[in-house]
Amino acid sequence: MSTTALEPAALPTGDAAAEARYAQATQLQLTWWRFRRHKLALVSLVVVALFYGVAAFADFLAISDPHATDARRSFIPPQGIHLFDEGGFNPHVYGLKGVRDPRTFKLAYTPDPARKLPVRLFARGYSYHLFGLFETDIHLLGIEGGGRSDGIFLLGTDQLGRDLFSRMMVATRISLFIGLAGVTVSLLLGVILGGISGLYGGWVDTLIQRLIEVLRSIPTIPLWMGLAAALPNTWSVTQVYLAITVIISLIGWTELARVVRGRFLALREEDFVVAAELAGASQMRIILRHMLPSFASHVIAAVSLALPAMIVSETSLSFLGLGLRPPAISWGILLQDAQNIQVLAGAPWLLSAAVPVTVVILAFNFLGDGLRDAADPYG
Amino acid sequence: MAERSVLSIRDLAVQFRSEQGTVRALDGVSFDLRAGRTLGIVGESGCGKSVTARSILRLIDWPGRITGGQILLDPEEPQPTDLTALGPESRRMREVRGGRVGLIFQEPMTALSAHYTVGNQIIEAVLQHRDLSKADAKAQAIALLGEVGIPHPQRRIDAYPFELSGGLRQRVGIAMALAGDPDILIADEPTTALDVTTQAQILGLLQRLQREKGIALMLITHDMGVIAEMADEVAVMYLGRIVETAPVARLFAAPRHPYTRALLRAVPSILATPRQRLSTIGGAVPHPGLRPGGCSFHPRCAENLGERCRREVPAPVPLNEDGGASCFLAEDAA
Amino acid sequence: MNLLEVADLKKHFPIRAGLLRREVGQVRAVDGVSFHIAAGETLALVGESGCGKTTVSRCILRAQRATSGAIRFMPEDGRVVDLATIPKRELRPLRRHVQMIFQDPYASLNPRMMVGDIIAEPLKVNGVPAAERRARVLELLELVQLPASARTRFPHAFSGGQRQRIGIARALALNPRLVVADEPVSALDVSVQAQIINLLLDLQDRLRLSMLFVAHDLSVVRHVSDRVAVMYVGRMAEVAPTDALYRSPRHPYTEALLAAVPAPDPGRRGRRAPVAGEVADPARPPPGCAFHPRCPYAVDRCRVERPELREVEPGRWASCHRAQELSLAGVT
Repeated sequence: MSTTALEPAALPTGDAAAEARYAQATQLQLTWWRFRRHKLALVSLVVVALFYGVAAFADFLAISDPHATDARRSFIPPQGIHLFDEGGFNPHVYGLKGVRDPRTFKLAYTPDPARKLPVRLFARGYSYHLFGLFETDIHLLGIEGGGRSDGIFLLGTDQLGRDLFSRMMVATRISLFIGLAGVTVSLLLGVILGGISGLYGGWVDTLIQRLIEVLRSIPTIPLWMGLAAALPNTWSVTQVYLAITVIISLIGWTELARVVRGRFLALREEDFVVAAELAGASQMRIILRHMLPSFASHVIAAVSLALPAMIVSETSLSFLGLGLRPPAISWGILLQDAQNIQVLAGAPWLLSAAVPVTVVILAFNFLGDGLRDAADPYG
Repeated sequence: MAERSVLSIRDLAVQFRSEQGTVRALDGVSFDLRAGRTLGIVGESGCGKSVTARSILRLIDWPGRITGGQILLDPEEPQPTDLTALGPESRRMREVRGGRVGLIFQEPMTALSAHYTVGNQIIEAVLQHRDLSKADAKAQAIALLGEVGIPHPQRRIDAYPFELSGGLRQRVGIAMALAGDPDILIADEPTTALDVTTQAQILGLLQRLQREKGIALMLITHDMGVIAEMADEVAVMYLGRIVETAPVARLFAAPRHPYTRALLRAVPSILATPRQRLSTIGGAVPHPGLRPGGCSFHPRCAENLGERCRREVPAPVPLNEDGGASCFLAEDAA
Repeated sequence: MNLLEVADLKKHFPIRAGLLRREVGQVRAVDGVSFHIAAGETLALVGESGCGKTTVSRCILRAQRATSGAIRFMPEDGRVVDLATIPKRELRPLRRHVQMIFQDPYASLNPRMMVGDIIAEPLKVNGVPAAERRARVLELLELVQLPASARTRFPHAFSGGQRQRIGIARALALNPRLVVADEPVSALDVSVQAQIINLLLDLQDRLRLSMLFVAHDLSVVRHVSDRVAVMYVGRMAEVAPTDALYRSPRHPYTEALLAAVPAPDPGRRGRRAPVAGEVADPARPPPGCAFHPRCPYAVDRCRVERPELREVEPGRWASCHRAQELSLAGVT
């Protein structure tokens, strides 16, 4: 059975139209057909797409200003949206009421069922730049009326009274894009250095391979700590952001370079590459026409497996206080708030930032596996 | 002629499941293996010859499974064992595997581990089937290596498989298969990976062992030359079915199935005249998942009868000594 | 002059060991091989694994550089180049004259290119204009008996035999002077093998193709080749016209090789006694004639003196001290 080259599942089902469709399907289509059968990967693809959707529309999805502090609404537990009122569909939340604790005499704000604040779609809130371009103040959800401290607190608030849900939306943007940026830099380094290594061989190859080995043998956490500590305190959030990206990708490229080099070496020996060489094709044509397309899919799979590593790196760095620093918001920074066990005991919802980290990393891993399996319809 | 039958396969069916539907890798295969005789199984890729071997040893992996039929060990005893009823990992099945039925692979490296010496592996195989002391097992292993024609077996027993040439490795593979003293030997393309002079040696070795031990040999090959050289009876397979069985001389002299006829004419011969053309069979073997309806050979058959071959499946080959063909033409001639 | 003349070709691979990768010995994969191919002729290069036949073909294709010796090739009438020594820059325009048919029909076609583009690639890189390319692709598809609709399909839609046809069309696209076919049918099913053998015979007739046919299967070789060159451990054992070689070999190794092939005829069973022993290790070939440890006719001289390839009768060469006196059995 294994000697037959065709996958039974990739076979035409007998009618001529389907057969022609199969015969004229490009590699991309074949890959997609195979990927489609990988249910878990398909679901993961949707999840990852949703996450990037959230990242793109973070401010739109956020409800209240993620940076706005308000002592009065510190540590409010998660609040649901009540959908029905007096027998009709009328989504609303409760307003806040200050209650003085009879023993500590501390004023605590708790929801007041007596004050109902209606929830509206596309409500006006704090103003922001959509995609960094268009200034707007429209948000998906908002409340009508209510005081300065009232709001929707789907995931509760932190010590400074900032809405955790809104912060999570904005954190998603930074955490995911730092991963993406890191992978892009790694990809460039990896493809260029790996390509040179595989193409020229000889001492260049030896040099690059040794460099990779040295980089990989350095324990990563101390390396990051060292590099992150070297960042000047005076740098702005953006500069730190960029620097962290570069630091993360300095390690990340080695794996990709190995993949690229390995594919290069394997492909050089492939009969169809030899055939092109015998036809008199130039080195450039062989690389662009025959070799690059053949390993693009492997690189994509490698990238989707490298992304979660990047995201975890950022999260751990920031969690340890070595990465991004407030006022920047990332998953790591949100989790930093959950470091204190006493705080956590009183406000366990602060840990909810761990959920998107776990979900997105699992999704990326399943997606990467699915892509890798689908990438090579013949392997 | 009527040697004792040691293994009877009856209506064996094996299916592989995929999302696109089931692939019927074997579809009602029946034959007998007899002591001291060689059954040659010949066919092209996807015909199910290797699946047959693997199902006898219960080595079919998921998503494949045996969906019907019987594999009867000692069918002439009062209580034969049906191997399809045993668990693939059951104690009894493990005894059968190696102890009653030995398997020789195309590439012996798949049966040998690169990390242990040849001796280690044969000794282990010996101990699995026989209650011997370590020293006796080693002596037995050396004897086995000598038996399969490995020079200086005392020395070679400490060699690692990769230190041996392809021919010697296959001899070790045969020694491994013989370690449990089986009376049935399945050889799956045992010489395909070997050079022609080595192939001749290995085929000679198999013939000698069979003669000496009265083994029932099932020889799977795609090479009609090997069949002509080795087999007593032949089963020709196409897309999971046996299309013809015959004593070897009759198969070559008067093949009854159009596929056998076409195949024999398509085989290049060392006796060819210069620039001699071959007759061909049109098309290619379809994927087993796309088996044509009716007689599965009909789209490529030069002698097909039209509607009837397209619609009806011809009866399976008869199970008598003389064999026959699963073809309406053969039925009508009879 | 012949289309191709290989003279005393040697290819030695260093054996390196130790930390400093010092050269501790040499594998003499090809050790002084000479033969020629005339225009319009198919020469089969046969032998068992490790005999050096693949290395010879790779040297001719300049996928490997010969250690020494000459590969004189005539790209056009009146001009001769030495493929063993020609600089890379001058080699590229010559590539079009020597093309290759590969063994594995699955690995030899780029799965990401349509069949039409695969066949047209040699034309394209050699500057044939698009309209001409299209016509030529259709012509080639017809030549290898594939439908014109194959042009817009991808290799995955074709069976092994059809893919091999595509590979053949690509090899013929530039009208090469010489085609090197490396085991072109050994990966195919018997029924498909016959189709490709017939196609090659057709092409030989129609195009007066010159071919180096590298193979291990002596049955296939008997069908397709005009002459046969038998190699053993890096050296040429015998070169002869096909029919003569099969009927009356002049080298004991050829005899052993022919005797070992099982003929599809149960009536011939038991006629042969397989030759003993194993193919010698090219890193440590035996002294004298490399075949002497396995040769039933070996005499003392064979153990010490290496026989040179010499013409034992017009058109037949053998490297055996006893070539004249032995009467060896062929297959008829």
